[in-house]
Amino acid sequence: MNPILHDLHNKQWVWTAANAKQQQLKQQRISGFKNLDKVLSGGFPHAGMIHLQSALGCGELRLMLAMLEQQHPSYDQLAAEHGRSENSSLVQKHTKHNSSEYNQKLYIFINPPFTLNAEFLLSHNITLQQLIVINAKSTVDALWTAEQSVKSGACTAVFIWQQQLNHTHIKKLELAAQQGQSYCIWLQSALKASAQTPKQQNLPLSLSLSITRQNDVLDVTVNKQKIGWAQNAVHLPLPFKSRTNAVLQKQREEQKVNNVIALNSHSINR
Amino acid sequence: MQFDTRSLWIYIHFSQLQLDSMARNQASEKDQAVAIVDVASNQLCQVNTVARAQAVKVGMGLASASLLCSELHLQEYSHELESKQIENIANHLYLLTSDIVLAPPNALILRAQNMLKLYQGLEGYWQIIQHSLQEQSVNFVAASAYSVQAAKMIALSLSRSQQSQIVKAERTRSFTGSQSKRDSAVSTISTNNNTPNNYTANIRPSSKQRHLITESREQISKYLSRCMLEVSDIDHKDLHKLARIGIKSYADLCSLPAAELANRVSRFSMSIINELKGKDAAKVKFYQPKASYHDYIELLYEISLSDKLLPVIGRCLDKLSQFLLIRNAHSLSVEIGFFQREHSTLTLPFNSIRPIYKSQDWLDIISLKLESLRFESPVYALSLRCLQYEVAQVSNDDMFTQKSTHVAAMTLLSRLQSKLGQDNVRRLQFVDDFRPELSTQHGSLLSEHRPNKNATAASIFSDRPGLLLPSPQPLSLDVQVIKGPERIQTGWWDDQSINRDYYIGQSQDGQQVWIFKTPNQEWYLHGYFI
Repeated sequence: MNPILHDLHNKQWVWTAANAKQQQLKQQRISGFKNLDKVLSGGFPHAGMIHLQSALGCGELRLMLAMLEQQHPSYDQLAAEHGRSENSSLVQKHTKHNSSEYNQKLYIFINPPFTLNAEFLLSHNITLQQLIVINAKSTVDALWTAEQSVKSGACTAVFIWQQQLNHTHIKKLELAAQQGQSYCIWLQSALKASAQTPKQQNLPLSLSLSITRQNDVLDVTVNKQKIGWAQNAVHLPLPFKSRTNAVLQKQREEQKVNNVIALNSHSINR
Repeated sequence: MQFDTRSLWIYIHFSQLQLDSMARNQASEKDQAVAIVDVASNQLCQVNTVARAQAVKVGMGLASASLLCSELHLQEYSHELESKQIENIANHLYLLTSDIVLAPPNALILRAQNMLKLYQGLEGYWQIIQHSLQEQSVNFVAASAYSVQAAKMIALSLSRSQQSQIVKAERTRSFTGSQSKRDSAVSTISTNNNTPNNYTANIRPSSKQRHLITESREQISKYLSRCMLEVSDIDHKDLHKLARIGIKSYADLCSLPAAELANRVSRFSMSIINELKGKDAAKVKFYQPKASYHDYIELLYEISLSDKLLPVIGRCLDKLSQFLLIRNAHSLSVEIGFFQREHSTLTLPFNSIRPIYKSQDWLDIISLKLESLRFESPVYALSLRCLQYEVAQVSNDDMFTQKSTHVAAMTLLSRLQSKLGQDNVRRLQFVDDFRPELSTQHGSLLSEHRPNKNATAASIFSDRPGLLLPSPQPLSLDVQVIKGPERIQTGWWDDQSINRDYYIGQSQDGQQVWIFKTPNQEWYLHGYFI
């Protein structure tokens, strides 16, 4: 082998398509959106540092939570599989009790720009027991917290709001995230960041996304990913969960159920 | 409590407890000459081997001592410190023997009689006790007898003869070596360094005979008869009176009939004499170990850097973890006091989320907090307190399921708390209130506020923003309303009533925001849908 190439290979600066494709593709996590999975060659990486660049309030956190929910099916979904009967509440309680004791990896939020809303997180099936909000006084402290948390293996994801991180910080966090098999999600405000974009192309991130919103549709641009090229924007329908919609759906379902009851095949439907 | 006069007692006298405890805590400073000075009499009362090698003796005045040894490190004698040490030693011995009497500041009394069966004889019992004491590296003299007073008298007189032997040995040395010493003293100091070794070699043979531990009454009474009365508890005035009629040793005392004695000495002294003779029983109170842990350590020299302090704290914690391990307990918090020379004592609590006992786990937490700590002036002593500990629950959970995650999470949270401070690591609490400002509250980690299951399921709305502004701001964005309105009108019962029409809006940048309109047609921004 060429000595320079050999050197680069030892430093793990060269990515070889041959071995990576076999290893990683199985480990990709689906995002819940088919066209996004497609451009991400299968889905999100199984662990690592993810960079999200967007204006505050586009739905960046909702996108990530939707992805995380795919990995950790919530009790409601479990209960739904068990059927919607009187017993379901029991089942739900049971599963809730079982899993809430131990199998609750933490979600850590470091220096969110404003107060986090507990109701929003509860509606995304994150119990408040798994939720930790950190108020770090300095960037150094915030980064230390992120590194420790991600490394510990006790967290599902660590969300860190920072305007600027340099190459060393990101490399550290990326390695820590790989070690702890969790996500470190770096949220950066797009309005101020636009000037810095060219620099960020070669940061050692697992994934870098830019998010913009056009009415009901979210445009996700892949700036960088470990396997594959940067991609043009894909359109995702990501409306916020709406009560009115839910009610409408419920009504429709009830109507159906009514029909079924009329046919007296309620039990068959189960 | 009263006990029959037939049980065997062991009196253990610690001759230089303060010195020993100092030396143990800072083992690195072995070649420093140290002496403890009694401020009241202005005399040295404890001298370590290095100092002794330079001819510094117990009972010497300060001035002459400092002339003999210019680098002598002096420490004030502390009654309290020794009493605490005695208690520590008693704590260790309590695991081996049941009946311990504290005789502060520098002695312990053990009732051996009821332990003999367990350890199959006095020899086995004493070996185990001796081993435990040696592990704590303290110098001691012990004697057994069939009454407390007699045991005490023998032990103290043994200790005295010990001292005089050392002095004697020194004299013979200085006679033989004086010539050469005088010659070499000018040229090199290296000879001084050699002397301690020679010394310990000299003392060793005699140190074997330090203890008089025996069951035979003959041997005890033989030794007892040689003891001088001045080491006993008999009142000084009475001692003086007795000396005048020629009674100086125990043998003299026995030759006089009791009635004769009773005429001459006070009632108190008479009771002690009766105890000595084994006619009266000793009135003692047995030691009960305390439920909380407290340790106090004086440093050999002052330390101002926190990382230099860590090894010392580590040694304190080792003792604590031993204490907890024995009791099958673990603890959630310890308190360390840093005694600063020119400022008031700094007492810091260290908390752990997960109950732990291992010293290494504690050290991890403490070292993180100490990183950010600056002492105003050097630290001369440390105290460690563990007020509450809980008995470890043995759980039969499955080893392989998720447990490690839980432990990892608890460890992580402890570390975060100790580095960032307790107020900066928080949980959210959800309160069932329609007012958005009140529904989310910050709570500390310790408050195990379990969400109310009935409340959560029904009243959680999914169309709520992820981020809420601390207080609503007048709307300055250009926003297009995409959903609404939703009226929240509540809180008339307390002073924070609100009447708002909430809308969801979207700005040109694609930001989805939560805005509301007051009855006065004023628009406010209240949150972001992240």
